[in-house]
Amino acid sequence: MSSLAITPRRARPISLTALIDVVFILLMFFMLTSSFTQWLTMPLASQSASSEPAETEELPQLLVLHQDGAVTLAQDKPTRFTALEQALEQVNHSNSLVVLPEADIQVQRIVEVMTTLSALDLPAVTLGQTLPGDETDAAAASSHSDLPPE
Amino acid sequence: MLQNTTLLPARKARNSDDNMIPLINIVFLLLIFFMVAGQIKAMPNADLILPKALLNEEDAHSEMRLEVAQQGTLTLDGTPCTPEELATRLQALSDHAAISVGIFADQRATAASLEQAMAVLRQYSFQSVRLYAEAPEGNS
Repeated sequence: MSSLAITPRRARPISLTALIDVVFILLMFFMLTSSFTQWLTMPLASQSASSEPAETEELPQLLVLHQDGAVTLAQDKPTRFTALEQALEQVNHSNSLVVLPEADIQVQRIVEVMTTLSALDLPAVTLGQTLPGDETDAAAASSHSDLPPE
Repeated sequence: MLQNTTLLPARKARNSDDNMIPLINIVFLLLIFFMVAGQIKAMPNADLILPKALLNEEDAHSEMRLEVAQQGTLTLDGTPCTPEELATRLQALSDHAAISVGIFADQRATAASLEQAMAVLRQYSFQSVRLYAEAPEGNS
């Protein structure tokens, strides 16, 4: 009987070389494909915004961004300011605003201005059509009837 | 008595793999860090530098990705296209209202370049059109 007793099988040591191979490959994959940058978004247009009827008949304010850093705020009449901060003091907080950048304004500047304006808690801040540099003042001065679509 | 070697457990022969255990520990820690902390997402063109701004909204899923390079060239879902080709491709889509578009514009691109894309996008009633920016360093 004792000769039939099953002797416990000795555990064979597992080689770690295969494990470390796989782990290294996984590490390389995650190191090369992972991204730590955080993306944020800013709505430029949305279906709900365009389909909802305007609550008021009041025409939006226009803010023209000039290449030299100056801005023109067009409410009843256009007023040119040398810096954005001066224009912000004159912004009507109960009315929406359309940003009209000059053609050569960089995207970074547009995003900065729209971020600043979004902090003012206006009903809506939208990006309008880009105007050629020599026509922005004329466009701002013109009537709101030819307002670019939001 | 203790010096009697027959009573002490036989010392295991050192395996050469034993030297790798600290290495494996560190590699495992690195692996877990990258798996947990990193995000795997399709990156835009490497030449494209997103504008830096602390915007309110988190990254939302966009079905279509439109890239505006510094020179103003447009790339829709990885395929370069002209504004005319962009209009043609957007026209071929069936349900615009269910599609959200993400614009990845280079921070040095001009408003005129962005307007090229926006002029086409305004013709369709997309669910949303979003401009992507990168959180400034230290705020992410």
